[in-house]
Amino acid sequence: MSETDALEARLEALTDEDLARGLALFRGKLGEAEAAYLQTCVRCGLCADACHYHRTDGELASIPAHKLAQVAAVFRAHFTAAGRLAPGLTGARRFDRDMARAWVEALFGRCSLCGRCSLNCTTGIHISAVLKAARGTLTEMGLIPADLLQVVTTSLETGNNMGISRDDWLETVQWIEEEMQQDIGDPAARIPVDKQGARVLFTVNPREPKFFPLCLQASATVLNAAGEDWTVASEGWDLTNYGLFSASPAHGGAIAANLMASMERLGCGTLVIGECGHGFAAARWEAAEWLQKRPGFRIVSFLELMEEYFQQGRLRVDPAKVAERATLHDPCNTVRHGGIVEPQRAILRRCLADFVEMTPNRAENFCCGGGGGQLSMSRYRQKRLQSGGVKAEQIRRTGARLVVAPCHNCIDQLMELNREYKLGVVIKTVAEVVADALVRAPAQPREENHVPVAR
Amino acid sequence: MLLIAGVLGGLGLFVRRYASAPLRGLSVPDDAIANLLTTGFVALAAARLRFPAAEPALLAAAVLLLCYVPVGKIRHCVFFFISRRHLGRHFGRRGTFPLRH
Repeated sequence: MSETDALEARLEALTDEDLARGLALFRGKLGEAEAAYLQTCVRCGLCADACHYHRTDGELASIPAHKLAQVAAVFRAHFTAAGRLAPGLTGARRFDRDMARAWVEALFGRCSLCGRCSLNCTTGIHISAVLKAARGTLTEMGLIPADLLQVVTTSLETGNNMGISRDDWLETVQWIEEEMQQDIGDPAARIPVDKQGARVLFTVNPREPKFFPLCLQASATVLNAAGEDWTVASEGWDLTNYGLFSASPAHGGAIAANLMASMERLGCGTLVIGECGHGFAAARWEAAEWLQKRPGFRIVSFLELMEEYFQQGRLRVDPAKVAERATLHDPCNTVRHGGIVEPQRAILRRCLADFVEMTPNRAENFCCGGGGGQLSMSRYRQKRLQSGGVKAEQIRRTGARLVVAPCHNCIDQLMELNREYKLGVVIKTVAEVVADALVRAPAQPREENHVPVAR
Repeated sequence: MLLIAGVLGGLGLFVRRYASAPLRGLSVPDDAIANLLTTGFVALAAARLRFPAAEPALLAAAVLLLCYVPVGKIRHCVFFFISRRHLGRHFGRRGTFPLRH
């Protein structure tokens, strides 16, 4: 049975008890903020232009207010007197099988939770927060696309979202360390593993050891060049957290606990989230909510850390080494939801000879279309690529040959857009650009900071 | 003049809502009722300034309008502030607000 059919079968099998349970779950996710948001929409439609889905398909169902209306309809029908007494007047609709199906299509199929509609809502509704609450309801009802759930399940079962074994991870780290030593000509350069009490624990997106080892090598090169006291963990090293996309606090909390456990086990002072938008937002902003516990250490993006190195004069770069015109993509979870807006720009202005901004940029930048778990939901692939047309056009207008994207989900989507829209660009992380522009001092003897572990 | 501008604005929004296909698709009866109640109330307020005989109609419109506030979308005049506060707190805490360009 295909994934689409399986989800349809689950929808068909919904009983009245399932729907009542779903309603109870939904109600449990509505705090003061969500309830206010659901009462505020005036259906002005001005959010339409904010959404990359609507801008590329022009469909009514892709307007954020329409997606919000699907959720608000249920809220009104079940939780407001006006909706119960006069459903036709207010657009209230009871939560039945058809409505559950409409939720699935609107919340998983037409939304990457990018939050651009929230910033552009005239009445101040955090639309993506409401949609996320409804997504979480569907997830807890079992109405989540199986391939998205599989990513969560793999994380929960293996400790990382690609099911990389501990041995494979450590072998890859060793191999990348050797490559880095050869590349920079410094046999003392290290990727320390499980170094107790290191100042920094550096965490990694599993796509790097699996598919993009040069990204990890670039990050390690930068950390070595800055003379950082750092380590990676042999376990609990994966920074990703698809609980953000399943919108289930139980998923998010269980996955986030892996990183917190690594920090406690190694006694590090700062948790550094590598270049991954959702991983940063999950660890920095959501984890404390999910775990109901404030972490006792600093959590920063690698972008912030690299900018600190520059400010402290710990990195020297030559922008002439990266001469082609370059532009910067703003991952939604790094920038709009994460608040990391300027560090990456400050870094790139130092490292690039010809840096141009996209229009619009920063928090108003468009989603690439790969967020919200869209990359893992095969049933919506065509829609995802279509929605990426906005980003492709943004890139084309800059005339850039290099696109810098501090997020692996974005990089995957941008690579597909590169092929689909024949952009002819190269896509790199910020660390890769820094590593390319580095001016290396002659290798100096340094204190051994490598703690061997069983590999 | 302000009241007349208000009436024209209300009528303009009404026409825009039903002339635009996407907006028409988003609309429910509440949108028309809320607009007409509010626009009618403002029009009667303007009329009352020149024609005192319009006062009973104005008071009736005021009662209708106030009764409708909790039922329809006019309630956004209350919830707007609550939503804005939450949105501002969320994005402000994360450093996204104030927006930089």
